[in-house]
Parts: sequence; C-alpha cells; structure tokens
Amino acid sequence: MMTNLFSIFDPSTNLMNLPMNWISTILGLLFIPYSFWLIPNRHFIMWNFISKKLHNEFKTLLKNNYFNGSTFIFISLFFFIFFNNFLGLFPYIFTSTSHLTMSLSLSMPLWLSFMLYGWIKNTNHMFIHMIPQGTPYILMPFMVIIETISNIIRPGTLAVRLTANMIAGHLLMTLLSKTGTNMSFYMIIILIFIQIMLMILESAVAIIQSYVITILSTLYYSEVN
Amino acid sequence: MFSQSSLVIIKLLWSKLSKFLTMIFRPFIQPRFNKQFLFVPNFILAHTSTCPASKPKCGASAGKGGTTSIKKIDFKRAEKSAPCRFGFIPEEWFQFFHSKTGVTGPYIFGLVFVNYLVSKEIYVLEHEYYSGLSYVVILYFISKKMAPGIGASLDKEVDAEIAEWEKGRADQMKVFETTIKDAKDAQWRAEGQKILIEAKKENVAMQLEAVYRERAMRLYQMVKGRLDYHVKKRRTENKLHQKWMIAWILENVHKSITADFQKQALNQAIKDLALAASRVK
Repeated sequence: MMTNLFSIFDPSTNLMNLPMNWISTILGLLFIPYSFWLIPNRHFIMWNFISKKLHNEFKTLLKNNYFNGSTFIFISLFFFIFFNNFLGLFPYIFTSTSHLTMSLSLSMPLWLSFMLYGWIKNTNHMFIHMIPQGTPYILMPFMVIIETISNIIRPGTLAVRLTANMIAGHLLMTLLSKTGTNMSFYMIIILIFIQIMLMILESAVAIIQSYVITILSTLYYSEVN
Repeated sequence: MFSQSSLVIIKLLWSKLSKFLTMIFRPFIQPRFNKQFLFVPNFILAHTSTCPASKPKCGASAGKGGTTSIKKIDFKRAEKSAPCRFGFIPEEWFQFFHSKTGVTGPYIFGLVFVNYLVSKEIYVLEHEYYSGLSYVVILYFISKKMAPGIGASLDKEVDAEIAEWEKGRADQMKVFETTIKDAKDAQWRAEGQKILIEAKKENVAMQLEAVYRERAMRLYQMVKGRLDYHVKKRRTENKLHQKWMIAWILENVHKSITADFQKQALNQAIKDLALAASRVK
C-alpha cells in the first residue's frame, strides 16, 4: 500500500524489523561469472567483452594519466551500478541506487579523493584548470567562480543524476501499474503495451546512467593530474 | 504411547516425506546420502558422506589394513548446468511427479497453487504484478528473438578459443612427430654407420691380405732364387765334371791305344765285314 507517491522507495522488506531489501545491493555479485574451467563459457566471454570495451574507452580518456590498473575501479563501479539499476527493474527487488545514500556514498569519496589529491599535490595544475583556454581577461574572475561552483557541486550532480533517473523511471512505472488494478481487461492489454515501452526505456536508462557516472568519474580523475 | 499400527503409519509417512524432500533438494545437494541411517531424514545427512567428521575410524574400516589414507571425494563439479524447464525449475521435480500424475501433473500443480495464492489474496495483484508482467513479456521476446543470435555469436567465440587450444595441441603433436621421425632417421643413419664400418674393416682386411700375399710371394721368390742358385751351381759343376771326365777318359784311351792294338783291331774289323758281306748275299 502506498501512503504517498514516494513510499515505494522506502526500505520495506522486513524480517523482524531487520531491513532485508538492501540485500539487493550485493545480489549483483551473483552475476559475475566463474572461470573454473579452462574453456570460457558464453557468460564469461560476454563479461570479458564488456570489460575490455570499457577498459579501452577509459584508457583512451585517461591518456597520459593511465597506469596499469587505473581503469579497474571505474569498471567495477560501472558493473556495480549497472547491476543495481538493472535488478531494480524486476518486481519486488529494491533499487538501491535510487537512494541518495547509495549514490552519494559512491560519488562523494571518489570526488573528495580526487580533489584532495589534486589540490594538495598539483595545486598549480588545479588552478590552471579553473580557466579554459582563450577566455578574455575580463571574464576570468567570473570563470573562476563558476568553475569553483561547478567543481563543488560535482559529487551532488553525480549522485543526484543517478538517483533522480532511477526514481523518475520507477515512479512512472509504479503510477502506470497502479491504474491497472481497477481496469477492464482490454485496457490492461494497452497498459501492458505501454509498460513494455517504458520498461525498454528503463533498461536503456539503467545502462546509460551507470555508463555516464563512470565516464564522468574517469574524466574528473583525468583532470586532476 | 502410540499403538503399533499408528507407529507403522507414522514411519511410512515419514519415509515418504523424507524421500519427497530428498527429491526436492537433490539438485542443491549432489552427493549420495548415507544409507545406513534409515531413520534419520536423508536430506539432512546428504552432505555428510564427504564430511570429514563422518570418515570411518582407523579400526572400523574392513579390508584396508588400518592405513590412514585420504578418503576419495566422490562428487565432481559438473561441466554443464543441470537440465531445467522454463530456465529455473529443475528437471528432477517433474520426474518426481511423473509416476503419480503423469506429464501434466507439475503444471497443474503450479497452476492450482498460483490460483490459490491469487484467490486467497495471499499474493495481491498490485502495481508490482503489472510491471512484472510487462517485464516477463519483454524477457520472453528477447529470449525467443535475440537470444539465439547472441548465443550463436558467443558460441563462435568459444569455438574460436577451443580451436586455438586445439591448434596449439596439434602443432605440438606435429613437432613431436617430426622429432620422432628425425630420431628414427638418425637411428637408421647410425645403423648405416655400422655397415660402413664393417665395410671399412673388410677393406682393411683385404688390404692386409694383399700385402701379406705380396710379401709371401716375394719371400718365395727370394728363397727360390737362392735355391735356383744352388741348383745351377750344382748343374754347372756337374757339366764341368762331365766334360773334364770325358776329356780325361778320351785322353787316357788315346794314350792306351798302341800300334799293335790298332793293327789287331783293324784286322778284326775286316774279318767282320767280310763275314757280314757274305751273310748279306
């Protein structure tokens, strides 16, 4: 039962007041394939294919800042967020990334570590980055202010972008489905059709959002050095 | 407390229940259960045949002579996943029902169970249900339309990997075969060396023989020469002796022939001739 529009996002699965729905966060671990046998199976090959593609993308982005293994954290971030988003589409599974706690816990430490490293180790470099190339001298103070603000809100944007997208999608789906409870049979078929479209969109959004957050984190990392 | 017949019924029911539960949980617990313990639920003990705690003590096992050996682990990790219907229901559950309810049994059971849940409102058809329904339709279409294509392309990758390993193996086999062939060739050549050495030995023996014979011939000729020398010397001496003897004899005879003897000899010769002439006529 929904007390308000956003009650689907409250942690609700309970076992003697122990909230169980956050277990869906680590459910994505089950999707990682085993490499027990010498010959890989389809699952393993698919996983490797995606990992390699991502690795190449991030390596290109990082350019000179790339060391062996720089991309690992971002690839695992991608898979983590993707699995959480994707699992949230299934009925009765809680979308953990739709909570700001989760998104902020991912984006804030990343951003903070980048900023601390950048400002402490490469202070000049960070100052230089404040102003893009070719700005007129008059605009420079304003540019500094704008760039500082944009820098500061970065963890917020990263987290809120993910959370808002997930919430929006789920909200739409829930609202649509709610009308299905008091509907005639033939209307339900139209409803299901519309929901299918929405579901496809949601699956795409799940992948895209995880990719976006990862790519942006990579960009912020490459800016620092 | 319980009568004899009720005890029997309870035991029967318990065995049935335990069998049923084992059937259900066998896909999750593969190893065989210990058949000694009949009155304990088998599905609980199913794992203990490979548990270290259940190993028989040293003296208890018969026939092995009390040596502490590591118990062989019977179960193996399966290469492919167990067969299942609809992607998540194991095949064994259908087989379990088959003897009693036939082919449609499990499906009817599922249908009736779902019906019960829905009608009693244990499972409420609310917003999650409709979104789940649309998701099931999407998944069904993906699994029917796109999955074979994706599966085929992924299988190609797997086959490519297998082919790579096989190629490596086949190349190594070729290398080994070439090595074997070369080794055999070398052995054959080595045997040829033996024959060569035999021939050389014969050659040398022949040369030795030839030199020996040549030397023997030379020796013979030298010895013969010496002997010839002695023979010639003796012959020459004999000739000389003969010549001188004849000459001496003639000389002496000439000396001994006097004039009287000569006359007598001549008169005798005339008489003999006249006799011979008279005989001829």
